[in-house]
Amino acid sequence: MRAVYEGAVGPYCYLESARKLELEGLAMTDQSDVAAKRIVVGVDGSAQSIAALRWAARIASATGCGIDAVIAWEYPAAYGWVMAPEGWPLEDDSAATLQRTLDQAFGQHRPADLLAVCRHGSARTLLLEASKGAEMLVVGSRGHGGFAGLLLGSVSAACAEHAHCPVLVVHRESSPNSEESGS
Amino acid sequence: MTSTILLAVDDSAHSQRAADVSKGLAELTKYKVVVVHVHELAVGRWGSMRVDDNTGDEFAESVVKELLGAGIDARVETRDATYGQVAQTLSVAADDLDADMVVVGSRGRSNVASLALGSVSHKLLHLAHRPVLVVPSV
Repeated sequence: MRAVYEGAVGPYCYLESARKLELEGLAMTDQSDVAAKRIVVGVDGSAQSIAALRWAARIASATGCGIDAVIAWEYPAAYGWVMAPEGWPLEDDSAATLQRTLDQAFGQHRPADLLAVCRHGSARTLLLEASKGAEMLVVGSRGHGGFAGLLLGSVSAACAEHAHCPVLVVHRESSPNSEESGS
Repeated sequence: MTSTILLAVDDSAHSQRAADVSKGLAELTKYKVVVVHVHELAVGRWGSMRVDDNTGDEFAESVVKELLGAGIDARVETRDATYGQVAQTLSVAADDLDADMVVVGSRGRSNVASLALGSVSHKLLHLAHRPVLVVPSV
């Protein structure tokens, strides 16, 4: 388990940044146990994203893939203006949300080959970018959008439509329990 | 109980890709695969008439043969749906079979080639309470 928190806007290049961190002696473990085949999971702290993480773990354990748990953060903008108090720790908040969601999904039993990625950008852009070269993209059916009755969120819809790999859309009720996810 | 993958097929190239992905998953997870093909029926004054031809059935059979050849527990199931109700029928079939996952191609036989996501796949994402795996054709 290692975490990569990069604030830069840009292409999805966390693996490169992970390697860079390792070169700089900052990565928590070496890269030798990182599987080349990755399952990317979109995380936003919602119940659906917990279900998505558990499903990803279930499939990853069967297929020998590693998991990239990705959370995206953006400055809230209206009419092209960003209104945020100075020093608002958006990135830290997102990183904390990601860790909390991982704890809720797996408790003490986090998958070994799990990369927690926190990046600045729009969720759909980052996830679609991450889907290039991934074995699978797993997303919750809807996340934190304001319209609670919506059955399919905009990010999930965009992923299902435009991703470069198979996309698993997980609904909250369908979460496999933790016993199953380990099997 | 063995977990079940519901693989929804028509006879399109997209379905072939979905079948390939299901095969790969089932081989590794030991899930069984139920290949579901839906016949669309136009219902009118003089009864109902099938809208689609038999190519879908043949395709479903060929997929099952391929899956069985790979040592996967697989069978075909055909369902009837009134015109335009394919996604609803698939959703009901998933509940009936207690499927753990529904696999569909991103687009079926629709001739609107520019659509990224076909209407059946799109509706299914909204209707199903179960995980839906959408497989793009690329």
